[in-house]
Amino acid sequence: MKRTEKASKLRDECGSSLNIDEANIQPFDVRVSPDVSFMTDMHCHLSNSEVIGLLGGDYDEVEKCLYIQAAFPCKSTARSDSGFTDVEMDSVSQLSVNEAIRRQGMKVVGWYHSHPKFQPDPSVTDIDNQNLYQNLYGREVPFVGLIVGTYDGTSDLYLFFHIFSRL
Amino acid sequence: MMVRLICIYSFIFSPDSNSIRSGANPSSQSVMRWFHLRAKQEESLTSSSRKRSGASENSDVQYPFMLQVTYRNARKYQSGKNIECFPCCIRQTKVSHFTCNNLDTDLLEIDKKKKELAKDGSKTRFAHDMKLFSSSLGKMSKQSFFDSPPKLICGFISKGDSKVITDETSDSEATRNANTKIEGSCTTICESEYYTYGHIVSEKYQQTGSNQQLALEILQGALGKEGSTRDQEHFSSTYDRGDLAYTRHEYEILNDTSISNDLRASIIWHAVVREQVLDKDLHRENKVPSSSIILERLYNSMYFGDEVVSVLNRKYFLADDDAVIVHGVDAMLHHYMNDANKIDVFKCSNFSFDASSIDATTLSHNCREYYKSAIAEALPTFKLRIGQKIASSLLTWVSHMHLNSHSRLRRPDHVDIALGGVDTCELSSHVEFLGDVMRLLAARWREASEWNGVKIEIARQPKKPGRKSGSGKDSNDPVSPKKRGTKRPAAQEKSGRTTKQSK
Repeated sequence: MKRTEKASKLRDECGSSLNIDEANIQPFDVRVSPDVSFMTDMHCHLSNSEVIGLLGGDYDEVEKCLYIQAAFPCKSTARSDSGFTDVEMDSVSQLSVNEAIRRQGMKVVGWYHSHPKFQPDPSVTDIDNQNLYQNLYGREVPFVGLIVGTYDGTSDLYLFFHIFSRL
Repeated sequence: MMVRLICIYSFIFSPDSNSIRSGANPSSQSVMRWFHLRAKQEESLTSSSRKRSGASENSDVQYPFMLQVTYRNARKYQSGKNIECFPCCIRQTKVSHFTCNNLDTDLLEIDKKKKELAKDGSKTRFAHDMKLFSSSLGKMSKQSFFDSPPKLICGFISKGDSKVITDETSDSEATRNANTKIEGSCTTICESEYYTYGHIVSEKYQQTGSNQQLALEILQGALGKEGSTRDQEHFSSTYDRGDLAYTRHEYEILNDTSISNDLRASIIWHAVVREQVLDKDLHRENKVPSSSIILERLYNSMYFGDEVVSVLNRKYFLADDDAVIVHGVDAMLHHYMNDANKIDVFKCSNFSFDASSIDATTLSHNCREYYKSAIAEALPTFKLRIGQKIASSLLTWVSHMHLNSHSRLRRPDHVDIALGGVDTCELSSHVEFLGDVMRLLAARWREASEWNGVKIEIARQPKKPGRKSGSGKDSNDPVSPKKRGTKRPAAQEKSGRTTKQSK
């Protein structure tokens, strides 16, 4: 759906008085498979430390929709501290997961990590990482970040985020 | 080029007190949220501080982001040219690209550098995994099941092909035959193997046939009809109790549609803990289902196409692409079971769970009373156990995974069954599946504790406030505050005197 169409649809839904800047409208939809939720949820619940992984899927340009089809857990680098507040992806693990995603006929469309001890809002480091990942992976297809908050409440919080340069 | 970023989630930074975002999840269910960022423009960067107090021009960029959970049966894991990862509408459309055409070149360069940096890391990790594998076999040998651990060979087969190794002594021959058969159907199995918990499973494979159906078969030497008598007896006794055991009341509660996932998860986790930790009879006879048995059960529940290749009579069946999920869960649990920061699933979390919601259901009085007495421990609210919380979260997702996408299938005994429950005692497949996943989790954690010599402690719910101690159990409580308060100084005093005397 084009931005103009989406803007008109939003006006229909929310009322014509809604002030919509078409240049800043959401650039793409995201559809998430429950497999992704299951795997990320399971992974993020297993450790008190932060965990990390990549998301596989593909982007449909016509529909402007990002399909996230599978989650691929990665190993994190060994560290001496608790790792409650940050995590770094193991490079060997990242390479093998990249290969696995390609073998499945998918593309790397995102990354995820957990916030086991606090709200799943992106930190400055997360935003920097997202920027780096987008530069690395996000030139071909959109690239999103996912933060899973597991032990900050009785229920889980999933937060997807994405950054883009303003035109 | 340095990109300056500005957050546009104006809920957080908005001066309007009515729109302050607390960050807490307002619902009782897991929710998904959006967080969107954009680079700040040069001119707007300089004027942003001036506009901060008032309503900025950008405040209208607050559209609800479309975030949807898709139906799982839309995707298929297949390699080769005919990719069916996406719905038909997507496959028919031409996926175009953003801007960069040389991404592969860049990635290859980065990959090459990373490989150079970390080439020793993989060797070290492989050696570590091998060490874990060998030690796990040695320590598990005390169980009769592992006197002769069965080899599992896993590969892709074409539709209708199946091969079962019937004799433990003819492992190599059967493996060769199986490989020949698989090669005959244009499928090759790589030599590299994936080590699971006490089993060897060939994981890496390449499928070259375009029309072949993705299939996975587990060939188990000890499960054949002509296998050794001892193994046969052992497996039959194992699989007689293969299902996670629920009481009649628990079945009734689980099958009730009016109960919440939290209640359902509490019963699943209660049954798992009862089986893996609390059942003294099972422990005494060394018959607690190990993680290997549970994993086999999960793999054996795979259903491939029109034929049932499993030799076991299964209560529920999983589709072929569910092997990916099971494999992923197995790999994750295997990795984290020896992790220093792994979560203790048997402990209580800091969050309370309102068990009184059972009264709002349509359950019978007996079931409600059973739940309150046996599971909720007679408290109106109790601390949510970690395992229960995990089960509750996963139950939300697994119920949408369409594990039984086939409407009908034929069981190994050639009886057509309708999936989704033919009698009242049959649970939904996603509940059964989750039960097995949670069993696998608890079994891995239990075995890791046993190897490390750590006793599993099931966290007890706190006592009701206002209950007086001094009679019955409480009077014999060795850690009551009163006793602890008097003993500690005495012990310290004694040790102090001893030290002085020795000097």
